[in-house]
Amino acid sequence: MKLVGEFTSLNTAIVISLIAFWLQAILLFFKFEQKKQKIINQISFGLISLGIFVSLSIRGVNLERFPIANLYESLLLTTLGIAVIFFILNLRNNLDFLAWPILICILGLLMSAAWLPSSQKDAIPLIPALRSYWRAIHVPPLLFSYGFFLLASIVSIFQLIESNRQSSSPEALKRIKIYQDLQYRFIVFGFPLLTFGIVTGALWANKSWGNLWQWDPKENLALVTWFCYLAFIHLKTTNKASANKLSYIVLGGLFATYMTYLGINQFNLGGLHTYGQI
Amino acid sequence: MKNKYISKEFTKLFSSVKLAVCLFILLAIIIFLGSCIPQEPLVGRLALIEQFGLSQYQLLKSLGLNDVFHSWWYLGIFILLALNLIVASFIKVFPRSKKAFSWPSFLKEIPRKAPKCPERIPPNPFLEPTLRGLGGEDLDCFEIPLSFSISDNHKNTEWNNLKQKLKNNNWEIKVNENDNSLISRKGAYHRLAPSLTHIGILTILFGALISLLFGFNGIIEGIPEDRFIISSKEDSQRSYILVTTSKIFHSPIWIGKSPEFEVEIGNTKRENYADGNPKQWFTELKFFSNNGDSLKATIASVNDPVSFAGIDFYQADWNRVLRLKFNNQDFEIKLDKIKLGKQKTGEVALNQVSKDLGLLFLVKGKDKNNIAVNNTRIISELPLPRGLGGETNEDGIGFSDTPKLKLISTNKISKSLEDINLKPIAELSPNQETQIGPMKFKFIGAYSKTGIQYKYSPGDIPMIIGMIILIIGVSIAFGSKKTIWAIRKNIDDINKNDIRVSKTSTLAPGLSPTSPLEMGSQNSNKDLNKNSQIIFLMGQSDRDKAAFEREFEDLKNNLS
Repeated sequence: MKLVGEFTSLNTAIVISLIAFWLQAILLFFKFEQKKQKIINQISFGLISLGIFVSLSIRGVNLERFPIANLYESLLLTTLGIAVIFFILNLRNNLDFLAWPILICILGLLMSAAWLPSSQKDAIPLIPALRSYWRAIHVPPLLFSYGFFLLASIVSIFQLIESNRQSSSPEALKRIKIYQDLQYRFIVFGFPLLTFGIVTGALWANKSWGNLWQWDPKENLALVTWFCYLAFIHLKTTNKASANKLSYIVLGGLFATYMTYLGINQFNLGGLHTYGQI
Repeated sequence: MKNKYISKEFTKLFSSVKLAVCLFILLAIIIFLGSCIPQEPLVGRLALIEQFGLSQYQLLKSLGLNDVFHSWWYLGIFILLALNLIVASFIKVFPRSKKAFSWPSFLKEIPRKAPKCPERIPPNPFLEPTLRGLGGEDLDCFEIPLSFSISDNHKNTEWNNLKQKLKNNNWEIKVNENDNSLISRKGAYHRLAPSLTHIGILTILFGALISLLFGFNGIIEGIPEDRFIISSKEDSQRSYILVTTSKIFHSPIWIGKSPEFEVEIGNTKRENYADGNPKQWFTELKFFSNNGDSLKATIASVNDPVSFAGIDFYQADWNRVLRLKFNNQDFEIKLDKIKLGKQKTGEVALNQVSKDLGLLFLVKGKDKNNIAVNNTRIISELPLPRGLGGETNEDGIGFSDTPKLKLISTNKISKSLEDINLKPIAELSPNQETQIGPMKFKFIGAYSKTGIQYKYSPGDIPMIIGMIILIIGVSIAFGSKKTIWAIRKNIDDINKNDIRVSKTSTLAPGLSPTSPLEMGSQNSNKDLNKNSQIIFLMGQSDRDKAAFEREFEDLKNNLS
């Protein structure tokens, strides 16, 4: 019964994402007024967040543990992070133009989670190393930071497209400025979360494996991601790189994020963090 | 003179942001490579040779790519980055943090010209660049100044209102002696972010250095009653069942000293879930002085290390093992580590080179609990670990008290268990042996074996403090330092022709040398009388400009 509730709420989230995506197309086509668009987006993202949250909660209650132990659960939490981040930031900012690419990402992540093999989806007991309160401290900030980096990458792509048009109209210039501002804001929100995740990971490793840092592939790739965004922040705050270069660095950072999060298992790089083998 | 030049160039190079960014990117690429290529310390030399072949392995080794994180060039780049961090911190970052809480100058005049920023400044948003021409020497450069003016016909009403609004919104206010100019600021502490971040990283590096100089680590693997002395050198005087000395690992520049105590493994057990998967591993550790006096006994488990004399002991590994002697060669087989194949069988090679002789483990249920050699199969009465179809005894700790090993021969080499013709040869209890043709086989016993990692790392405390500072640093960086300047002037002091009423814009579109002073739409030139005052406001935020624009607009709407 509990299992039925878990998958019903997840399916609800998937269906809402799909409906919301098509609603975006309609909104773009008929050029709805901004206020209506915002209301529709907030309701859609609110319901998606609620669906995933309920699904994860039921799973957590069912398993009597914090529901982050395999790839399925982490994909759901990442998606929840993206939806919640958009929902909150869109309350006071006009981010509706980002809704449709974000919905594509959310749909992609939810479908991937739903289609994972049972070995990555089934609720299995935790191995001894994962039985720690550090799991709830270390993992969610990292997954939420990935959400911010994904959003930063989407606006970076928008910025690159707009710059390549080479339009000098005030509207185009204003849009570029907005993209740059958003790109920076997403990263300065995501970067502390990434740092917090890496640091708490080191502290957990110190307690569990007896070393703060082991040069494990996952740790290494997290450090690569950290260096990418560190380079971005240094270049951005010192005005030492053009907007396009910064956008490429953000996209490089997303690649590093992907490798850290999924690539490590997808390409079988091994190491101590092989909980989510694909 | 020459030394001064060298010192200047060194400082310039190593405080450069460009160098830092280049090193970040270079390190990112190298670490990426080091993550994609299996590293020898993690997987072992044989695995690398198997994967790449001998010639490619030698090439990797000559480039240091088989062990990137211990190669001299990787350490060299890391040292360069550390130098860059130290020099930049003391030359650029820390001096700027002093200015975080300094107040800029008051406006002396209503600026008529947008302060022009050079193309590539500010070099750092945390830096206070100078802005000349506004009556102050230390004002920030305004790329896009937010500004507007209102009239105050009732003299102090709007001026006091402005001050009250700013106070209500938690702005710090400083008013000049004539009460006709004020500066207000918020979030000055955000400018401490770079300094805190750098202090955090420097503290981590300091901690790492301390651990490098004095720290050590190692691992002890053994069965109950094995006793170890932790030492920097082998101790041939002592002889225990497996290991006499657990040799510590330390850096080449180690100046620490070995501990002076012995540690013995007590009871060790594995706690299982209902389905047989491992839930937790426990090991009792007993500490003794060199004279044999008992000092302490305690239990370590995963995620719950124990500490003794400043050394931390971690439950790192746990296995059920079989110890065998095959043709006088010792074998230890970790049953929990055996991977099952398609037919639910697991193989362990006894001949490491040719791999033509080995043990075949069969899952219980398919046959009995089995251990087998290719030609001569050996079947065991041992309860094999969960996952191999076996059972544990009641408290889940491992083997039964009387493990036995059955040897069975077969004339057929086959992977299909049904085809094997099993003929019992012998039954071995622990420490019994038998001769099978040219092969001599001894069953030493079956044990629960624990792996305990230990570490002495006096730099951990500074490193953890550094990490906390680092988190605080990067966390406060997302906020911005905002400043608002206000100045009021009597209308007589201003040329009325310069005042234009804006009906549309809520924010003045920046100042220019030719544009008149923008006023809110509800003000009109008619409203201005000789008692009127003009209040001019200007604001700036180093980051998150959109949020500041909203805040500035709210303030304007509340005033005008």
